[in-house]
Amino acid sequence: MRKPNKVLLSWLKHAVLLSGVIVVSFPLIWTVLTSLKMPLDTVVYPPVVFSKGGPTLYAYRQLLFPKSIVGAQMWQKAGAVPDFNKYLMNSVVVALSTTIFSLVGAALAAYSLSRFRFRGMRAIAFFIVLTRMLPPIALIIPLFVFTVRLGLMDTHAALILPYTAMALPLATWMLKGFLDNVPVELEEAAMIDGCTRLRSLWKVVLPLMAPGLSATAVFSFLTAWNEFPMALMLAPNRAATLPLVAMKFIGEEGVYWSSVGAAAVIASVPPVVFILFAQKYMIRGLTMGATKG
Amino acid sequence: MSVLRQTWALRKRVGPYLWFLPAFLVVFTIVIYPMLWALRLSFYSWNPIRQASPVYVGLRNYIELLGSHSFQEIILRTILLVVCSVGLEFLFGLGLALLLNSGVRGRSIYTTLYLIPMVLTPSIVALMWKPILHTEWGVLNYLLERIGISGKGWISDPSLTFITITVLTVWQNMAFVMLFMLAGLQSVPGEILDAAQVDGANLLQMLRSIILPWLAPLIAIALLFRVMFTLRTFDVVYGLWGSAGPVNRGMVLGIYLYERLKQTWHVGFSASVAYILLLLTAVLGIGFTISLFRRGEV
Repeated sequence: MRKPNKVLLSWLKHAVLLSGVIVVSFPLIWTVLTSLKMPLDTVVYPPVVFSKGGPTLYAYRQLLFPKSIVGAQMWQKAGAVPDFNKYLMNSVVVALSTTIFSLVGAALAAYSLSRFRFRGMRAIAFFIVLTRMLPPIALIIPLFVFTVRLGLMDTHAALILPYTAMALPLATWMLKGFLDNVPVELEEAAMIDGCTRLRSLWKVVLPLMAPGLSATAVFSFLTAWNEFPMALMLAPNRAATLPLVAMKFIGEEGVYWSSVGAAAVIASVPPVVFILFAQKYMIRGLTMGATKG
Repeated sequence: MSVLRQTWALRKRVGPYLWFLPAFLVVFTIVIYPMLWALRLSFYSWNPIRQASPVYVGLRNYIELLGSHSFQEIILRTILLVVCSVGLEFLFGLGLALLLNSGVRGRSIYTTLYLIPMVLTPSIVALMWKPILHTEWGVLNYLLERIGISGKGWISDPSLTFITITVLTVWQNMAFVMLFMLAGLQSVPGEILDAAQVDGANLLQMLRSIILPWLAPLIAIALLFRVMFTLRTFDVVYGLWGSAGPVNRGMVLGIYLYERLKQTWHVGFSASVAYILLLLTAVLGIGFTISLFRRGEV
C-alpha cells in the first residue's frame, strides 16, 4: 500500500519544485528573449517570443558597438541608449581592483588571526559582524564630503576604496575559516627550510587554499559589481558602474527595451558564471561557521 | 639585552598586529572614522553649498525627524516591508529546503537554478522586471488576462507599489534562506528522524519538535541577515522608478535618506537619518548577535 503513495509523492514534489523553477527563471528567460528582439517588437501586444526574423543581436550591437549601426547618432543624441561600454569598463576595473586589494588585505589579516594567538579574538569576530551591519547608504554622507574634498569625485578610486573596505571584513572571516583548515606543519616545514612567514604563506599555504581563495574572491567581486547607492553618489558619470545603467532607462517613452534586456544580460554574466562554477565554494563561504561541524 | 635581541623581542610581540594592520587601516579610515564623523555631524545643521561652517543644533535633527508624521510613516513602511518580505522568504525558503532535502533527484540542479537571482545586481533585477510588469504590453498582464484576471499597473499604480517591491525582494532573496535551511537540514542526524518515524510521528510533529529546534540557530542567523539587508532597501526601488515611486509610495528609509540629501543638501540632517537607519539595524542586529554569542554559536 505504501508504494503508490511514494510515487505520487515524488511526482508532487517535482511538480512543486518545477513550478518554483519556472517562477524563478521566467524573468531571466524573458529578459534574454527581450534582448534578442528588435526594439519595436518588445512592446507589441500580445507579446511575441521572437522577432519576425528570429533572434537578433541588434540590441547587443546597439550597446557594445553603436558605431556599427546606421543612424546611431540619432538615438545616442536622444540619450535613449547609454554609453554602455563606459559602464562595463568601469565595473570591470573597479570590481577587479576591489577583489585584488581585499584579498591581499584579508589574507594577511586572516593569517594573523588564524596563526597567532590574539588577545581579543572574540572582540574581533564581533567587530566583523558589526561592520556588516553598517548600511552602505549611511556611509555615503561622510564619504561624499570626503570624496569631494579629496578631489576624488567620480573616479575609480572613489569606489574602489569603500568597496575594499566593505569587502574586507567578510573576506577576512572567510579566509580565516579556510586557513584554519590548513595544517600549520606545512608552513613550519617551509620555514625550517629557510622561508620567511610571508614567503611560506605565498608559496605553500595559499596554493592549498585555492578553492577558498576563489570563493572569497567571488564574494569581493560581487560586492563591488552589484553595489548601487555608493556608485550613484560618488561616481555618477565618468566612473559610473553597471548598476547605474538602470537609471538610464527610466521613463516609459522612448526606451529601447531590447537594450534594457541586453544590458541586464551582460551585467548578469559574471554573477551567473560564478554561481554556476563556484556554487559549492560560495555556499560554503556563506554558511561557514553557521553549522556545526 | 643586546639591541638585536631587543628588536627581535619587539618584532615577536608586534609582528602579528602588523599583518592585521593593512586591513584594519583601510576599514578604519574609510568606514569607522567617516561614520564617527557623521555621528558628530548629525548634531549639526550644515548645508555645505550655502553655509561655510556647520551650526550646532544638538538633538534638533533627531527630534524633528522622529516627531514628523511622514517620517514615522516611512519607518513603518520600511518595517512592514521587512516583515512581509522576510516572512515570505522564510516560508518559501524553508519549504523549498525541506523539499530539496527529501531525496529528490536532480537536487543540485534545482538548487543552482534557485540560487541565481540571489547573486544578481538588485538594480538590474528591477530592470529585468520592468518590461514584464508593464501595464499595457507587459507579459505578466498578458498571462494574467489569459487566465481571466485583469492586468494591473504593477509599476504605475500607487496602491500596488508595496506589493511589487515585496515580490521583487522575495523573488531575489528567498534562496538565501533556502541555503541556510538546506545546510542545517543536511546536518540533522538521520537516526533521530527515523526513530521518530518509528514512534509514529507525522511530518508536522517532526517539523515542530525536531527539525525547527535543530535549525533554530541557522534560522536566527538567516533572519538577522535578511532583516538587516531588507531594512536598507534602495536598489530595487530606484531601479524601478528612479525615485520614491508613484506618490512616493516606495519611500523607504534608504530612499528617503538619498532623496532628502539630494534635494536639500542638508548633510547634518541626512546624517541623522542615516543614524536612525543604523540604530534600527543595530537594535535588531545586536539583539540577535548577542543571543548568538551567548549560545556560543559564533
